[in-house]
Amino acid sequence: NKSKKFVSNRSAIVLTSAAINRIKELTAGKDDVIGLRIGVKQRGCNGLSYSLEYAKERLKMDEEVLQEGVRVLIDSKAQLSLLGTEMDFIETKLSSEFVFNNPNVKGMCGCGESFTI
Amino acid sequence: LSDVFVFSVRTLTTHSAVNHMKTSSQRRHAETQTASSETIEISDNCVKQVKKVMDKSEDMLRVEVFSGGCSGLQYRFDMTDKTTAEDVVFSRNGVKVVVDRESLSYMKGSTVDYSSELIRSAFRVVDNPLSQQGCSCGASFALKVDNGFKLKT
Repeated sequence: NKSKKFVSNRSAIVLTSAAINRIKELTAGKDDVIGLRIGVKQRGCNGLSYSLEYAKERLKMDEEVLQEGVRVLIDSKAQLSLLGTEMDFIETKLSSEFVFNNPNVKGMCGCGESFTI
Repeated sequence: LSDVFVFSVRTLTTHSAVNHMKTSSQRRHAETQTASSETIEISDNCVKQVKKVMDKSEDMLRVEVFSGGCSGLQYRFDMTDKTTAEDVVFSRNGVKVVVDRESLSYMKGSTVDYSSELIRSAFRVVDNPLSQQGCSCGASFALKVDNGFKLKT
């Protein structure tokens, strides 16, 4: 089965080096935090919206992504919509944010926080 | 019905007051605020962040409203060191926020804030009394239709 092979061979999301550095920064000095957890929330103008929180433990249904010593957990509800996504961190003078470049997204809102699949 | 009427009369009065004041404020290079209804608040976090990203003392945070985004209108933030006669400058604790008059008419009474969250840290406009609903991140918004506000064409 081709699709099964595809999923098991590569990680659910890919982190860019900017994202890795930022996550290292965020989790540094927090001993009880094992990484970040990505979830989706039912809000925003386009139906769904990503959320991010500190993860203290790995939940049963979490998908774990380990890259260069950085751990990102994906909530079970978010796994389908995040599959194949690149997680990037973009910092400018006026804002700094995590961006998800998702190939499954059909519509996006101005700031990119809300989306439709 | 009378309430609605009174409100629209008040809005009209404010608009004509602004037009009236334009000439005198052009002379003062838009350095001062206009009538109290045409003002915005600057939050503590916004003051802190503008101070952080300022390169020189003339730098100001410019907030603009223009059409776009999922809800029809959206805010845009920029750093600037120039003002025009159309601008109104608000200051707090040595930090200046500049809004042009047309943008101000879409966001008067709101607060300019800087929010730091795990997923995003950015400037945003919060508590806009004229906006009806916004986008989840607050970048885009729609105007309330029942407040006597007329879009300029």
